[in-house]
Amino acid sequence: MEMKVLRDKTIFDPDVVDKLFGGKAQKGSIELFSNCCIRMLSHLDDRMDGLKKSLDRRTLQETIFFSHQLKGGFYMTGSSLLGALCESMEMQARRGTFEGIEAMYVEMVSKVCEFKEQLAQFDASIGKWLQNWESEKMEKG
Amino acid sequence: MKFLIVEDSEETSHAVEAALAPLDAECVTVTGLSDAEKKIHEMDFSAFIVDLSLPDGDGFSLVNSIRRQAKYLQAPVIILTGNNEITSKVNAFSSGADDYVMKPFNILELRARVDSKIKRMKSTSSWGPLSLGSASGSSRVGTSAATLNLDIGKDEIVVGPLILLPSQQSVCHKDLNNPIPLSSTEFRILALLARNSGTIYSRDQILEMIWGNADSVTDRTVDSHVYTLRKKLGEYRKLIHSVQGQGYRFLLPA
Repeated sequence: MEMKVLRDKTIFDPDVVDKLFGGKAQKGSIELFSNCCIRMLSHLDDRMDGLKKSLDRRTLQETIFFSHQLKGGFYMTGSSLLGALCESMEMQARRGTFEGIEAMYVEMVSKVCEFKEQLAQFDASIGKWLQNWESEKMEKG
Repeated sequence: MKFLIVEDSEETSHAVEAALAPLDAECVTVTGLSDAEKKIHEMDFSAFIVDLSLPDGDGFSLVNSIRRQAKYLQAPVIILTGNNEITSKVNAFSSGADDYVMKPFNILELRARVDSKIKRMKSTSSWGPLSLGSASGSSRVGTSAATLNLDIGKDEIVVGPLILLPSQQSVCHKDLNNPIPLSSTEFRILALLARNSGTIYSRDQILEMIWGNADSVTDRTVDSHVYTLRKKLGEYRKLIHSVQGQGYRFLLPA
């Protein structure tokens, strides 16, 4: 497991909108990010549950499937740390072994709650930003 | 325009669709290789965005399948992946991809990369379109058969003594039945030069047309591929001429 690789990763990157969606100051980018979060959060518990079951049942294919699904969602919603953890789990499962995967899963569970909290706070702040944006537009318009 | 997005992560495919929306293209999204294989045969696409790691296999085989179809010889293929290993990048380009975008990606960057590839494809097409797939079989392209001699069939390109077979990614002599297998890149270089017979292409032009704006290749890469291509062509190696200080051209025997 490349723990070294995880050192510079963050649970949630507040600059995710800038980095991935093309600029905080653009309404389109914020909406795009919000949609992405909604999609990701609506699947998160099911995917985590699926991953847990695949580990309990020791089915490599399911572990690959769920860690892969989670990876994409975490990366696109600003968690490089959780994305990298899922990537390491997926790669390990593709090598045909569960070695180290359960430890990674435990770490992941402990970080997911924090990720959800930070994402919710960020979502609230961009919600306010959108409200302000709408009000300013109304005043100007 | 129609783009095929092959991506199993819903969040990522949504972001890709959003990135491409301003390009006025219809996006068809599939989540695995088998669906993608069906779509590339059923429909015609202008560009492909392919995730490397899919539930039913890796994207390299799909890129190979795309490149084996004559109608997609020039279509931009962009690989999306979270894998930053150099071997993965090399494999992507070897299999025929035009570009490689790391996840997580900035949607503006992805849009710009796709847009530049589409523009390049259009400008290349305007120099000599490879209009394949006529329902009635083969059709002649070009006004002067003596200088161009380019017959285009549904699944083969006849250039002078050679027949290029996109579906097999190989080339053979008209009178022989021994196809010479080529790599995807070699085949594309040969197709580019052969179907524009007589035109000199500089190394930079070949780089742009075959690799797009990939950072990992230099003009020495072109020389290296032309060297192996000539080697494989054997006695027909002389059809590809080096023009000193300018580049390469395909010249048919007088």
